Amino acid sequence: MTTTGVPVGSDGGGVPDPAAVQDAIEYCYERGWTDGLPVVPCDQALLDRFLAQTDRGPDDVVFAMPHLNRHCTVRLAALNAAMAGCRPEYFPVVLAAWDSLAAEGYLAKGIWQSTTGTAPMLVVNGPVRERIGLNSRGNVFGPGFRANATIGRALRLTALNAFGLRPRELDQATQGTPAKYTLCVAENEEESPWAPLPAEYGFAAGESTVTAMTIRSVVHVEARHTGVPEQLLRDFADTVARTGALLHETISACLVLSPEHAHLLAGAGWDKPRIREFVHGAAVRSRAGLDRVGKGSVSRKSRWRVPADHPDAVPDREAEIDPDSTVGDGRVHVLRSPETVLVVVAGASNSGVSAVVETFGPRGDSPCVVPVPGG
Amino acid sequence: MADGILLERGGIPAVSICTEPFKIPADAMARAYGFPGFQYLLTPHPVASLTLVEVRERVVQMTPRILEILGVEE
Repeated sequence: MTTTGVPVGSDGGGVPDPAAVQDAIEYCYERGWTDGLPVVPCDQALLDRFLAQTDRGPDDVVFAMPHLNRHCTVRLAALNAAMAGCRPEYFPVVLAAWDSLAAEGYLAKGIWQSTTGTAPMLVVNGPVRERIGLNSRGNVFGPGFRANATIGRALRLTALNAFGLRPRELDQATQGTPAKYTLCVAENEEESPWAPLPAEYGFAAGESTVTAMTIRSVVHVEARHTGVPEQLLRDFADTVARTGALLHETISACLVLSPEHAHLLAGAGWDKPRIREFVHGAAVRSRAGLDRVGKGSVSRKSRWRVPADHPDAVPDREAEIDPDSTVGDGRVHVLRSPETVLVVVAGASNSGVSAVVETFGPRGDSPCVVPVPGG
Repeated sequence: MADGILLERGGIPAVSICTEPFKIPADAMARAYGFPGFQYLLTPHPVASLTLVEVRERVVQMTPRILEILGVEE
């Protein structure tokens, strides 16, 4: 019995005893195993159900951080996925997410310890979305869907518990981002006018995949005002080219288009390569504009943007290839190439609202698309 | 911190320098490398936005402590 008078636990009804659940949750808090939210207490039986979802051995290494003398095994990844609230059948997606992050490369460079405070964004494609209930439509970046919420969280709990990346200790993020709690979206393939993201990189239709991207921000673009593709894409490009995002010489972005925006563009004959090309060309700042914020040059060694009078300042790549860009109104591209822009369709088909996801680093290579075993 | 510890372990004397807000992460990295007593130098924050003159002043301020950690007697 509880103080509310509701019979629980020993009545044979299968309802857990709240006091016991609360004790278990507090036990996990006391040991520092949480991200601040309660975790699901995991016993061997639950862990075994996760481990049964993969052919990999429990002691196989999922990811290693040699610079921390730590590694994560399949067992630890499963344990943290269970604690995050995943169902066992989500685990192949979690493992694919780790593989994608490993292939992306930033994790091994210690990006999760950086003051920038990045987070991984996971984009899931294929039939696994429907099978495990991943949201690809309304409120796609928001709460309300167990699979989205817990798959992303599984990575964070593993970062905390397996790698010891605790805030204000080994995680030195100055502010971090809400995406560090969780950020997992499914592409809205059903309402997209184009082939899904993995199809651009050689994956067959009907194959389930995870694509992980280290990101810094999700910036909303309100664009309900126009049916002109060029106006819409300039609105995106202006968001991409904001100076606050310019840590490095150039940046990269994933455009997460709402179905309405995607259909506006596709209906006018625009495909993804043409969109990438246009955004690359339109995402520019004037040299004077960069100088006004002290980002008109780059550091000789780090290639981070610095003021022109900085002791380490050298001209940026744009200045080297286009002398016209060195004058006040000269145009400086903030994207290195069209390939630094990815295009994904997600969200509800109910308004002209999309997002620019600011991916970390200059990029330009293919994203790290990883198949989910079992299709 | 990692670089400093690895250099020391490779037989090359090294002094790691951190700004003060990084003391806790620096100590955590030293523990992660099994070297909790690793001596390093703390300096006020920030450094990235200092002018060249200010950077030189900072180096002058830090030099006695750098030499002390290295075991150099002036």
